[in-house]
Amino acid sequence: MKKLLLSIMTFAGIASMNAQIAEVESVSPLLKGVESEMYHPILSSDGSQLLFSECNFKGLRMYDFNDNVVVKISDEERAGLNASFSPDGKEIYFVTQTLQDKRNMRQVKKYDVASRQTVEVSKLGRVVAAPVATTKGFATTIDGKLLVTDKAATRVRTEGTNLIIAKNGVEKSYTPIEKSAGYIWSSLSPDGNKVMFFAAAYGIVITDLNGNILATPGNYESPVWFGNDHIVAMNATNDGYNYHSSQILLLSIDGSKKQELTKPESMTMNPTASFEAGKIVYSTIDGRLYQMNLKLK
Amino acid sequence: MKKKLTALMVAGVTAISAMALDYSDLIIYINPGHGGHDQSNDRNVVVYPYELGDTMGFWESKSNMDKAFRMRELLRELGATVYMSRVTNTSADDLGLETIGRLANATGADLFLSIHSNATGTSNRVNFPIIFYRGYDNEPVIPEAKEWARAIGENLLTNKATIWTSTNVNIRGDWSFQPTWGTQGYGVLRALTVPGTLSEGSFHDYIPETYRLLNHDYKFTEAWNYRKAVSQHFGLPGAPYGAIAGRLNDSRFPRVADYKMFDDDLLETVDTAYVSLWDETGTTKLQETTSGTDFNGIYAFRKVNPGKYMLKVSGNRHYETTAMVEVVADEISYVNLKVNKIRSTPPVVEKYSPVWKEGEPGVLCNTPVVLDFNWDMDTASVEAAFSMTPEIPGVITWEQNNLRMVFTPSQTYQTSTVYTARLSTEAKHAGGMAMEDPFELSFFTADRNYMSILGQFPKEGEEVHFDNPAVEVRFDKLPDVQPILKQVSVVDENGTKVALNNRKMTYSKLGDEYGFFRIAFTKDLTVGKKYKMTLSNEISDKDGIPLQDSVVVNFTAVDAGEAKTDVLMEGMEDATLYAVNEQGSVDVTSATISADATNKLFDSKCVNVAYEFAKTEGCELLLSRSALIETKLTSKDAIGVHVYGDLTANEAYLEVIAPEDVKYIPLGKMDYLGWRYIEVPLAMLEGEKEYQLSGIKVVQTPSLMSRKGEVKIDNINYIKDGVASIDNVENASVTVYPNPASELLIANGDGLIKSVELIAMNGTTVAKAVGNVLNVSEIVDGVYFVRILIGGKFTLKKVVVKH
Repeated sequence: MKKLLLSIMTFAGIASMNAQIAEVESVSPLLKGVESEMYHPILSSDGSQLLFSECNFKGLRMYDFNDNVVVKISDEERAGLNASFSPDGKEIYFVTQTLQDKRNMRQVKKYDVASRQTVEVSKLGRVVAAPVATTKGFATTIDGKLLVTDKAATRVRTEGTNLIIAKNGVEKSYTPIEKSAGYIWSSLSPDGNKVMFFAAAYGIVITDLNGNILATPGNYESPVWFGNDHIVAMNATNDGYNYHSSQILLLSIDGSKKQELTKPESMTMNPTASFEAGKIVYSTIDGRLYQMNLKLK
Repeated sequence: MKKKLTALMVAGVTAISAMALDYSDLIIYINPGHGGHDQSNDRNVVVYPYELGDTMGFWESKSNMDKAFRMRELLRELGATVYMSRVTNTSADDLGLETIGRLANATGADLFLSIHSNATGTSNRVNFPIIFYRGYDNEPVIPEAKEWARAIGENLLTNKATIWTSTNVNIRGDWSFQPTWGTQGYGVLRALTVPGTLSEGSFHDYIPETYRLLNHDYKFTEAWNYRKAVSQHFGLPGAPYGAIAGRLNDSRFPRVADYKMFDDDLLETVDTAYVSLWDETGTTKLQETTSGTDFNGIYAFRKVNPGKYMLKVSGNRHYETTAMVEVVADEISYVNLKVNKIRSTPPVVEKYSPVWKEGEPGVLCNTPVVLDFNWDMDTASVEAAFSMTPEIPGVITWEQNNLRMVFTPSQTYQTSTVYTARLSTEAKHAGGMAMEDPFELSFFTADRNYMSILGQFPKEGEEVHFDNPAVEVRFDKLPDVQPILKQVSVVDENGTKVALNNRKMTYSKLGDEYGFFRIAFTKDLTVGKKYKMTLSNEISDKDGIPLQDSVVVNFTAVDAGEAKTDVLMEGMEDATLYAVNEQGSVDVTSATISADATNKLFDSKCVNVAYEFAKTEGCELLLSRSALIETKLTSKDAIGVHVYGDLTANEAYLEVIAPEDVKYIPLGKMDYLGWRYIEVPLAMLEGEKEYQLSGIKVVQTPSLMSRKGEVKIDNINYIKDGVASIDNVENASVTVYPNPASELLIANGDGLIKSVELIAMNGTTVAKAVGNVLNVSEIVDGVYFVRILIGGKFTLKKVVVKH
């Protein structure tokens, strides 16, 4: 454990793999001694709020950096899997899961940050897509049927090997990578002009809003935007059973530049980023959170 | 549900579509573990004929994927929605562990299964399934995952086409099994929001299983059991049809391989056999297939309507075999068959042992005669046709399903003798065909057919110091000590067994000059009590060459440190006063003199001399004192010495000096173990000279076991006028006659006389006999002492030998 901690804290001494894209200003543990088992962090776009959950996505907590307060949003199953902040950070959409006759039933819920109230915003369904929070609502699919409250918003989601991009009120499906076990981790760039997703068995793919491939930066998991031109992602190795290494990388979207933000043996995972706040947050394999402040060079 | 299930059971194969509604609401996600024929992240077990890296050989990635395909087929047939994390086998398909979990979550799966096979990672070989769920043992993170794991475990164990080394349902929490980083667990289970398991279906490093996992029909059976576990987990009816599967083995011929095998895996598999399924009467053929090609003998009929059938198996080298089988819906009926090979040629001896050629060293005198036949044999006719010349009794046993006959002699062969084993043409194989030609083999035996005892303690009639006693036997070869505790026994005079302490057993190791074992008694002996030790003639050396006869000795427990009234010679035990006298020593490799506080007999310590000679004969060690013992000794005195013998049979002496004279007082051969009290008359000292003790001497007795030893000496008693007392005081309880003696010297007394010993005036033992009669016919004329062991004590008498 000591070795793990050491490798996380000594980020400053890491030479870049290919290039120094950003200067790391500080690294510090978050909620140390306050919370335990903190995984899958999600930052609001301004970086002032942070969602996290348990390892298997059970429950959802929110940490407010300004108030230094942790609020419980949900204790339900799956709540942490696809939680999504609205662009202004005032609402959080997430999916919960219950078992009925051993079949999984899911439902989209909305949490209002100011009132701390949660409301159900969809019926129960068997297959519920990750809700995408937009300026005026959200969008998802319930058992294949689209549920959208903000039709005009540009948004992106994936279903199997379909990349579905909606703009100007019209959804279109694309398959930029044919040979894949499925697409996940889809997102719009902060300026709304680029789409990023992960094609299993291929890697990260950047497209325009028409599904045309712009770049394929590499085969790294859990990618998130850091500005419009950079990505933060996780580079993990395994033996088919267990993780052998896991680190956080900063990449240019074309993959031409790559900087190791943590060492492979640090077992750091699942980064989230706020370019606006100049920070990323990631977890370790044993459930601790770290905040890294960095500035692009 | 029960009503519905009953209806489905009678509906037959055509009912699949009717059930589809039930399964159509299910989403199952399958992850075939590993991927890409990647040596660093896959498991390639190299088995003949496949080379390392050959993608046609066993790769866990491929095996897992084949099972996943079959499981997907079976579930889709029932109407379920099934996703697989990969459908090809490239390195790119070997997805990140979090990616797999996230993909499963994204599909809305109800269950997740990661298919793997296991390996011990050691030279140990086992074969059983282990199913993992996320959490600690019996504390699953998702309770349904444990139920799902149990359903898998129970169904996998129903597979009778394999050999399980354990049939216990083995389900584990991955946090308990893989505790690295606390709750890291298995990567694919970490990111799941649905009940998920990782199934190690069997052990792919158990080589017969490796070959089975190369067979698609066998992988189908595992997939069937996963599918069935899904049905059971959701309480849904299973398949309306059944299946037949099994393994074909030869009925007698062993599988020739150097890897570990269990049970019927020890038999040759019957590959590429023609297997056909007929109606119950055997008149209409319904399906046909062939058994596997990769040393597995596996076959299957994957879809069979419930009912009774006849199964027929035939092959180029085997007789046709039939079996009846009943098929039940949703079950695999396992029919493992052992088929008889067609014995089409006469029997011959294909291999034999011992193989000996003129001029080669003789074979061990206990070597069994082994005959390997080309066919399984009719044992009665072979045993009648077998003979040995010269005749020697023995036992015939059969191995490898009567393919091998072993004749083991009941006693060792005569040494340096040619033996001939013969088999006449009366010998037949199990099919009744006789040998066309007789068989004969000859071999010459070695010059040693029994193990020899070089030394032992105790010997017949000896006294054993009661405290911390031990038994030790030394041999010309290293003994097989594994069964020794069953081959050595000691009983007391009431016949009660006296326990030996196996934890205090020491024995020789490879490279030692002679063999030995030493076993301490569990408890001290009782002084004055008589005991009997038996060494079985089953004691043998590492080659199995035994003792010729059992050895039985009687011994008595004594207190060698029994209190004496005589004067002690002070200063004897101070080890610092002794040093090796190099001029007086011959070929000594090392000698250490120390004070031994552990094995002392009296007070706080005794003198301990550990020595090692350079050779096995002609060596001597002299230890000289830097200060003489004050006690003055004369030829009229005697001394009593407490000596701890080392069973080397080397002789111990005390050195005494007088002005211009040095003498060595013999303490006898140390052919015993432990403490003994030895009383020595000093008649060999000259006249009125006064001697003082100046050292200790050890003189080697030539033998293998004389090179190293450890002698201890404790209190020495000074017996003033000891010789005179022997000379003058008639011991009423013992008489010796005739005196002078010329042929036999006889001792008589009130008690049982164990031994009689003739000692020359210089202290040397010149003759010794067990019992009360000593032959002195070849003893040089002169005056001697007779030392008589009676009632556990020694008595000295002076006698004259005159011819």
